[in-house]
Amino acid sequence: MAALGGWSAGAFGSTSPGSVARPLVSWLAWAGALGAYALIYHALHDLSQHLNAPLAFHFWYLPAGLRFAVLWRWGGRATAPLILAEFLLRVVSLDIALTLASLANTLARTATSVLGYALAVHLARRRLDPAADPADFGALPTGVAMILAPAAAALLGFPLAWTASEGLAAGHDGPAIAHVLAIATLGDILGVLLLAPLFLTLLFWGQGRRAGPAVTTPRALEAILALALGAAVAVIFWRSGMGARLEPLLLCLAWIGLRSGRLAAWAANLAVAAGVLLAANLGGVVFPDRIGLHMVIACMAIAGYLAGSHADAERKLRADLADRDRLLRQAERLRTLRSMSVAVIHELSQPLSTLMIEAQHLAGLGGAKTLDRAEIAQSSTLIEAKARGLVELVRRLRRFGGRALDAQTRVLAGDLMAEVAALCAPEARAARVALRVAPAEALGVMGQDIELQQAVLNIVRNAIAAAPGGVVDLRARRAADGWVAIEVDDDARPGPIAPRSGMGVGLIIARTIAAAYGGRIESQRREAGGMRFSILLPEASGA
Amino acid sequence: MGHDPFLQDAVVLVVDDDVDLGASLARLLARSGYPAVAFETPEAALEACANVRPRCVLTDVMMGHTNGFAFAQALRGVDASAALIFMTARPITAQAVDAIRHFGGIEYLDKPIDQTRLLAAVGEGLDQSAKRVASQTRLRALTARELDVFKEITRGKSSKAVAVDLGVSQKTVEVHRAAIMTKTGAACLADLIALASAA
Repeated sequence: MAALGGWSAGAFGSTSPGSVARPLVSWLAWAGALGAYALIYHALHDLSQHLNAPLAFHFWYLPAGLRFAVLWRWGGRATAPLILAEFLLRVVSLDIALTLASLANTLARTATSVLGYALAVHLARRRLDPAADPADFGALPTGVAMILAPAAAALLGFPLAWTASEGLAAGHDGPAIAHVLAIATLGDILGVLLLAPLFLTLLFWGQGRRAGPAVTTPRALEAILALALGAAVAVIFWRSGMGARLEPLLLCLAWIGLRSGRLAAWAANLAVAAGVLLAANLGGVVFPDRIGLHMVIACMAIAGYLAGSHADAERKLRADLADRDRLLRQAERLRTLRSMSVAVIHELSQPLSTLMIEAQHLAGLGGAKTLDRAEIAQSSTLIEAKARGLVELVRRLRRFGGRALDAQTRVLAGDLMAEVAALCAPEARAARVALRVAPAEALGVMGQDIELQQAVLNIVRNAIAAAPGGVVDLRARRAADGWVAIEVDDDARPGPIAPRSGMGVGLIIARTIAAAYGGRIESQRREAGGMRFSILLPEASGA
Repeated sequence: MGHDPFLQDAVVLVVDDDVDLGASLARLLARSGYPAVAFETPEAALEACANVRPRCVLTDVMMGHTNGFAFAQALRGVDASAALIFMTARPITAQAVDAIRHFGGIEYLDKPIDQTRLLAAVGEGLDQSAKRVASQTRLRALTARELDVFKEITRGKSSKAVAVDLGVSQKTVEVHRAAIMTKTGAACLADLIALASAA
């Protein structure tokens, strides 16, 4: 017993050799935890007995959910403590005869049940997807474990049931025992599928990542409608003498799972099971084919769970991809900044020349006997003008390379073009290209402004690279109904274009960004020679 | 810009499309004893050259569409004696060599400008320019024929070879040679050669 206690204390993680208080506290802690477990188990057991009376005691075996959740949370090391707790509970509450034989029997039965669950949990966690996070209990491994656990428990417990005093000795034959076990297993599965998520949420509170809720009001109404439809069909079957057929609800549950995720499927499942219980308890409905009923409800739960898991995983994947896209576009902006940096560095030397000359002059003036105010004023004015220009440049570049954190806003085409022209002015100057921006009427598009800048910038830089010494025109106009076109014209002479790294990628990225905001990019040859690239985006009218 | 009173005194012209830098350089040169005026475009500078003869021109190489070198060539057509100093924000070695060898510049500065080098170059340029102007004044006294003879002599040809080249008698060449010596005030052939290279 002491060894068991010591082992368990170690298993629960509290270690501090040489301190007497620590083991004592941990002893008390897990004793208390097990006590709580036993109490809740007992309460759920009684609830099951009371609720399920008309159908079968095992219609919806609630404690199974608690057991599964605890085992999933703490893994194999919780096995022995749980066996202990459940065994003691059985002994205390079921008036087991205190003979060695019956105690051993009870222990064996408890052990096989818990071991079956523990085995399924271990297999699912370690073998199915070792990389999955246990706290992410919406993933497939948990679902598989939920179904395997009761099955494993039944399998392990079958030999015992066969040889038990209530088994063969009492005159029950094989098929009868199998029937009972089947109902018990199905009831366990239902208990696990419907109750374990609740306990798992509580046990993993605060851990694990949650993707945003998929259940919006329209979706919720849709789910209720689907359930009502299925229930109506079932009632029709019932009224027309075809018996209690719940299969239509299977389709409804799968639909709900796919549309609204696991949480909605779980709620719908609960509703169905509760509905059946209510029908049995209050409505006096008799379900003759109990195995069939158990089967169909269990299948519904499984189908809903899998459909919901799939839908949740897909949503999460899409969100991850969107995040990845944003990071990718930011990386692309940084790459663009880097490749523009040569031109920008040269550009910096221009204002720095003025700053240097005037600053040295001011320093010299400081040593003069009289204060030449006019000179100081002139120097200061020049310094301020140049410094302001530099500050502007730095701010603009820094903003461009930053993360696109702002939400989408209405961006004026004129502002967009002005920013882009300023960003690639150094490169235009280096390539002797005259960059002309036509004044734009108040045309707006919806989007993230630095990402839109990236798209337009890539096109303009390509134009500058294609037509050194030429002219690049930038304008915005209203294209067909509801579209804004930002056009970039260059007057490149036909012939081999000097190869420039990144020219193709820039266009691809620009297309991606345009598509992300609902637009596209078109190109055409100009009669006068050169190309026209048009970035088409849906117009966003001003508020 | 045509009748700017300061223009008359200007010794250096500054040409740069960055107005602030132009103003800054002009002030710097003025403080250092070289009155200067700044122009934003080469066209404006050339227009001003019609009224005043700058002895030194400081120009940016890349100004929007206009090339500083094209401006240099245009300037040479107007005034062959001005000293040229080039400056640029994007120094390229090949361009630097061209600036000195082909366009007759005496300095190629990169930005941010090194003030010491700039002022040294301006001083040197003004000296060279003054010498050139003086030489050209001296040569203006020669007739066309004398000028031809002068050019041949200073290439190292003997009077006999010159006579053959020009198709005149050697005596004629000797007469021209004496006249050249007198008009230019040279004492010997070496002086003549120095005059030729300074012009």
